[in-house]
Amino acid sequence: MTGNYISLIPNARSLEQLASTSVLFPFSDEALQFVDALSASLFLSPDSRAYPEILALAFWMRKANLVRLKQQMQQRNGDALLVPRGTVFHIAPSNVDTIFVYSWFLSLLCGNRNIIRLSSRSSAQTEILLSAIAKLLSAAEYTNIAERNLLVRYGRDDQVTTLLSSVCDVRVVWGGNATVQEIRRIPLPATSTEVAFANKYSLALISADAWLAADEPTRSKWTKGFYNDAYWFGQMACSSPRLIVWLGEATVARRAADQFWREVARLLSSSKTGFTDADYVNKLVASDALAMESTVSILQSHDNNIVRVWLDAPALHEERHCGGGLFFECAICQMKDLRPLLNRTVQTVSYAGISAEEIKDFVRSAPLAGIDRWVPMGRALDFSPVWDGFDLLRVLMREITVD
Amino acid sequence: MNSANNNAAMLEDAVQSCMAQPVYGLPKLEKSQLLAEILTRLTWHHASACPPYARILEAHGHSGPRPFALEDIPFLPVRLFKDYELSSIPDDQRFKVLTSSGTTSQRVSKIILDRNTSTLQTRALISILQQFLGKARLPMLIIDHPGVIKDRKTFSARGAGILGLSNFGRNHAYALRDEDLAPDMETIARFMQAHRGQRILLFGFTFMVWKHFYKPILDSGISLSFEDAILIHSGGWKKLQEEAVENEIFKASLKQALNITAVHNFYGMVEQVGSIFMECEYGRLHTPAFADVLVRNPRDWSVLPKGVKGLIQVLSLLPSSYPGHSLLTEDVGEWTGEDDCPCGRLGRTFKVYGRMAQAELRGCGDTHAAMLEEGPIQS
Repeated sequence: MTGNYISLIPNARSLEQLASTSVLFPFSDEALQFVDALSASLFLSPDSRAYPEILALAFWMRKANLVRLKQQMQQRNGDALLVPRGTVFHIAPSNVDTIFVYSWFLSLLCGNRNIIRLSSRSSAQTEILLSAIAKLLSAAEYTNIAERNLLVRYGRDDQVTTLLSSVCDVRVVWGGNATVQEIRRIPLPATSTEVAFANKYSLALISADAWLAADEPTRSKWTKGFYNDAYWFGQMACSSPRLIVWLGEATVARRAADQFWREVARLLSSSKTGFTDADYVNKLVASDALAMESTVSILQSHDNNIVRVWLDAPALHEERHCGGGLFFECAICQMKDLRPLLNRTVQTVSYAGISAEEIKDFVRSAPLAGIDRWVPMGRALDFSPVWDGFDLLRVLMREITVD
Repeated sequence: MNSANNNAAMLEDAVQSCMAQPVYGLPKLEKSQLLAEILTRLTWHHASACPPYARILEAHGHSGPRPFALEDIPFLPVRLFKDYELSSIPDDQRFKVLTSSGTTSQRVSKIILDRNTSTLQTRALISILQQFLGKARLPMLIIDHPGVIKDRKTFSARGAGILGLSNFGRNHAYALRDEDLAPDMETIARFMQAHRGQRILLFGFTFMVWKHFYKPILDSGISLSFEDAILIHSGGWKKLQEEAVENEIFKASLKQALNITAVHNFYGMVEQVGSIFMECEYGRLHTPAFADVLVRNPRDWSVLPKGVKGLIQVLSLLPSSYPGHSLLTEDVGEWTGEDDCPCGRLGRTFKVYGRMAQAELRGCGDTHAAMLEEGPIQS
């Protein structure tokens, strides 16, 4: 069994060398220092400044945050005896450039050896990250990390995936449903497990009354937050809000929505969305197609960077959504009207004008068919070690019990 | 019901009277008023006959019959025809279904025609081509291999296009060999011999003409000189752009190497068969009396002035059996003038730069080809 992949770091070890190197302790000094050093190098690099998602990643990697992660992990697990699982094979998505680092670093912090596969589609963001990583890994002080981690790139090649799968203890698959299905056909060793992140759909929930009552700074905070949530990654991340649910009576909701979008349009006019002609056409196709199937109004907006489709009947219509600044909108009178909309594909709800207590009560009142996380508006894209319902720091470690 | 029939009859009369106008003889003001009026009627005709179309209009806030200015005629993205079968006729009036070809993973457009729309398409094509070819059928050399129309299983839109255009020629011969697509020099020589002193028609797909006809002949060193030939070609420039061949180079090369002095490209699509846009002697694509183009800014769909690139919207009076009278294409272009072409033809002129970046990929020589197909393919 052979396979061809390109290693993305200098002096990379072979698979055999990797397998024969011992795992590290969870939250080892070596790992913490490496992650923090990468954070510093990204903050210093002039290249990263153009990319808020890279700065967000660098911020997440700061030592202070890592220490907090460690404390949270210890709190959750009490005095359980946890050890790394071994080798974790990460298959990174092509739509969100920074995910591979989050996935890798959580596993690295657990002490695992890692193989990270990047898709053959590259981007400026990925290249900035890779060059910073390669530079650090070639330094003598990070030999311990370099020996235990392999970053590779290859096109669609089942042979390589089969080879890399055969040496891993956990396979982490990021990607669309098609990728997940395809990778699942490739066998894993009997003792290994898999965590897969399929296509997800996210929404924003805004209280119409709260919006109308809010003062200018609050409104501005919400719209800026929403802008970041929706427009970084061109609305193509799983957590990017695609459906805006207005909590309130229909006419009040429409009034609040019209005001809200005027503010968002103002933000957009001074920023670059990077959308192409094809994005604009795709949105027209998607909204016209939806109009044929269901009763909707395609609302006038400032320009095609915002395309609003108001749904008479609340629904997800996840199959119709193409991203790129397309927003389905609807109004519901009460939180409980959200329930019939939910299914397992719903991941993030970014909320505004509703309290966390209200949400907790709602979640406790009856089991939900979907939703993995609720975050205040503006934090939809924040990465968290609990993702899609999995506590990754826990999944990537193995518990040893002593009775 | 009666009033619906009445409306349909009035609409048909209006289209017929426009078709009776000289193809390139309608001055701008008159044309835009006439087109706006008939396209408005077509819009509401489709709204009453095609419920999914009516829903789209409603979603965009258009309700109740009201007149539109030409620029305000609602448009559908052409890709919708790939995902949906949109028809404005009862099933028993289906005369044929046009499809665009596509390579494996691609979806094809399905265009539903009744006898009336199909007849209009044929008439439109004849009236346009006669402006360039004259009324008599010319001896016709097809720049393709005979097999392209023979094997029904792999019958391509290219084949359909060739069949469609064959109606404009006589004594057809195929210039390429089946086995290797190389020029069939014997057939070509025989054809030229037989029609010495006559005007002849050459037709082929742009890349076939370049890659399998012009280049091999040039490379072989054989000298071939047509006396009086007109070449009509279509199918898009994508393949040739890779070799940095543009229209001007294409024309100059064919003239120099083969003495083909009249070369006309055309732009059109299966979703609006018949109303094709022919390139004149000055290299401009012309809109006929019964069709028009607008160029829109993708950023907000506003209509762009002359000389500014945007997405091309095509308007045509012909489609009454399906709501394809106003379509937003995925092609980038700009309009270059109106009633002011040195060739003397009236109507708006424009340029096409090719498909927008990152659009859904389509094969070459496919959709443009299907537009010419005649004879039922399916249905």
